[in-house]
Amino acid sequence: VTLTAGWTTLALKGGQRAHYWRTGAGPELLYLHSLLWPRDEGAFVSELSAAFDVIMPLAPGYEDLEELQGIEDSHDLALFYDDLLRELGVDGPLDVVGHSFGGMIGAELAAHFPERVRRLALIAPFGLWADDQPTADLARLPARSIRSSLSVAGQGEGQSSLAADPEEVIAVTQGMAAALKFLWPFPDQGLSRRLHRISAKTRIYWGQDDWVNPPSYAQRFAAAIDGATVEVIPGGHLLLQDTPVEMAERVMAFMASQ
Amino acid sequence: MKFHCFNLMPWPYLPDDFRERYPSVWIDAPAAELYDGRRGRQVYNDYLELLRAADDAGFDSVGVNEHHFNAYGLMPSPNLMGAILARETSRAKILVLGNSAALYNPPIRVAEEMAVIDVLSNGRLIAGFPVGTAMDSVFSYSQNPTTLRDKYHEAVDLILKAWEADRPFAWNGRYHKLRYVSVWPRPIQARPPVWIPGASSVEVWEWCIESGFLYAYLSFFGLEHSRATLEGYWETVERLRAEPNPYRTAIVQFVAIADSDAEAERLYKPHGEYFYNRCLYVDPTYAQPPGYVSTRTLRRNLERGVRGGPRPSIGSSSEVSWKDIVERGWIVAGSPATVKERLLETIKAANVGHVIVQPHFGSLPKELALNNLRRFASEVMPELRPLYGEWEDRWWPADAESASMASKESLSLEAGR
Repeated sequence: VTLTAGWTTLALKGGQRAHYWRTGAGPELLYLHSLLWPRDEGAFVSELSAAFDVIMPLAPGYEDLEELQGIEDSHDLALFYDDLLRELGVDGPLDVVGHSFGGMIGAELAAHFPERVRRLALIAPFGLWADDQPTADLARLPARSIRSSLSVAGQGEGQSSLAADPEEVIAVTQGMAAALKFLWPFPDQGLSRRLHRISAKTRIYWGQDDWVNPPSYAQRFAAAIDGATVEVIPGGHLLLQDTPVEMAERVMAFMASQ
Repeated sequence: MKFHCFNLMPWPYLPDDFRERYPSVWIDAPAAELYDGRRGRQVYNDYLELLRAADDAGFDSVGVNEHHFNAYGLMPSPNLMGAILARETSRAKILVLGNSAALYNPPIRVAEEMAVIDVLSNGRLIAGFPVGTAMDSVFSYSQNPTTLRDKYHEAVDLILKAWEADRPFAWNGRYHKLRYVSVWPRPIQARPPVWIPGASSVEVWEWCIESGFLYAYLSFFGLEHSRATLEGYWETVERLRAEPNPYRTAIVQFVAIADSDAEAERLYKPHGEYFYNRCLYVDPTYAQPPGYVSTRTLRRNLERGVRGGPRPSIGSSSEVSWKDIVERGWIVAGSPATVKERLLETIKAANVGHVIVQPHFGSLPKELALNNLRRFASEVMPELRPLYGEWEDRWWPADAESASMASKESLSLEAGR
């Protein structure tokens, strides 16, 4: 998958490559994108960039699945992001926003390196599993219509919003493959054993009609993280894509709070 | 030319309204509603009898394979059936096609069980190792699609080393950490021939050619579907300057023999339609999870899908008729003369030295299948046998006599030292 202009590639000390997008001015903020190839998150990132120096890394594997060699589990994944921040010279605590798969990464980073994260905004994060509230089988979502599948009404739908462009199908499929390395067969990769380590001020956002990752998980996250608060709002799994301006306002209000 | 008799061991009692009532024959078809162990006992015994009869009839091997959570393939472990056949047959090779090596933890279990089959059968084992379909590996055994192929390759390497190593060894792999590997028993064959049932992928072809493995393309859709794949395979053989030996590859073909073409339709129609319309009724969302094929292969498939016309695919929403099935060559049906002619065409066009014949399909009753396989062996096989006589089959178990002679010789050599 070819990255568009605007992405920067860095060689990390361990031999891995990392790609990131950086935009805006202000305090540093780490933005961790959703399951989807992050093209649909531009509007949200652009809102944030009015107040923050937004660093958006591309999750490993999204550009080239070979990048996943050596990133075998959630620990390696957390270390990858820590390595990237070190390489960028971001040493102090910063604010972190993570959506969907990125929410899981944000929670892992904050649990592995509590001192790294000042405020943590998690939007419909994966990472937990309850037998009575199964997350959707992500391996079965059709790449051609993933945008509509992940949306509120998407359950069981097969609308072909991407049918015309094979490169888009390839990008989405490869991104999903990369995410599935950490989400298959369950999104539970041990995060529940580590959530208590998070010391960041945390807010959990969830779409009330998220059929992919049920909203009941919001309370489970909040119960495990000291002082975490929850906002359940109208919408599905793709809150940042569907309502970018409103979500940016909510997240920035949280970041501005004491 | 060699002919193998293969049976998928399907469940023959799926209801007529199966497609209306259930989303898929694979993964989520509830055995509690659809399977009955008392009937199942008869089904297994019938199928094993068919394979034993294939040995008597003169097929070169009897074939079994591995599927999971699936109503058309009732062999979760091919080694169970292979072990039975090792005793029930005396001449045909045991074609275990094969063990999905990535699904075993640790895979030395495969090395051990296959070695048992080889010993029990006096060196008649052919060792097959598929990656396994996405349904078998990702959805049935919850393997991670992005690491599945890597894990599979490690497992195959480990199994072969376990058979060939002179001494116990340590295996510090990416997926398997084994302080000691010391497999007992050791197969009679120094190394059983390795057959790889694989998809249409350049990576798989190169690997098979470079490793000396047979590449088997197991399509249920006849020559039309296999032609492009085998063309790609033979191009790769040429590019790597390997020998264009027909015995380095195998294809699958269903056959249905009767006195006349009309009689074939009368006898086999419901059972062929049962196979294609019920047994292959798979929910397409199970077929290709992200990461199951490489991005390179995905791109090639998308391009081919755009250029090529409609292709047969599992999970197709419309039903096919016997007429479609026969016209497209999915099942080669008719009189022995018709079958011989169409098969000869297939064999020549594909340059294959091994045809894996499926004389049983779908809900075919035992007596019909028995008659089908016997007529194939006596009225079709003999004339095709001499094909490719000029080539040596290097993907075949060495003659058991010479194999045991060789091992005796090496024993006496050791003693003489």
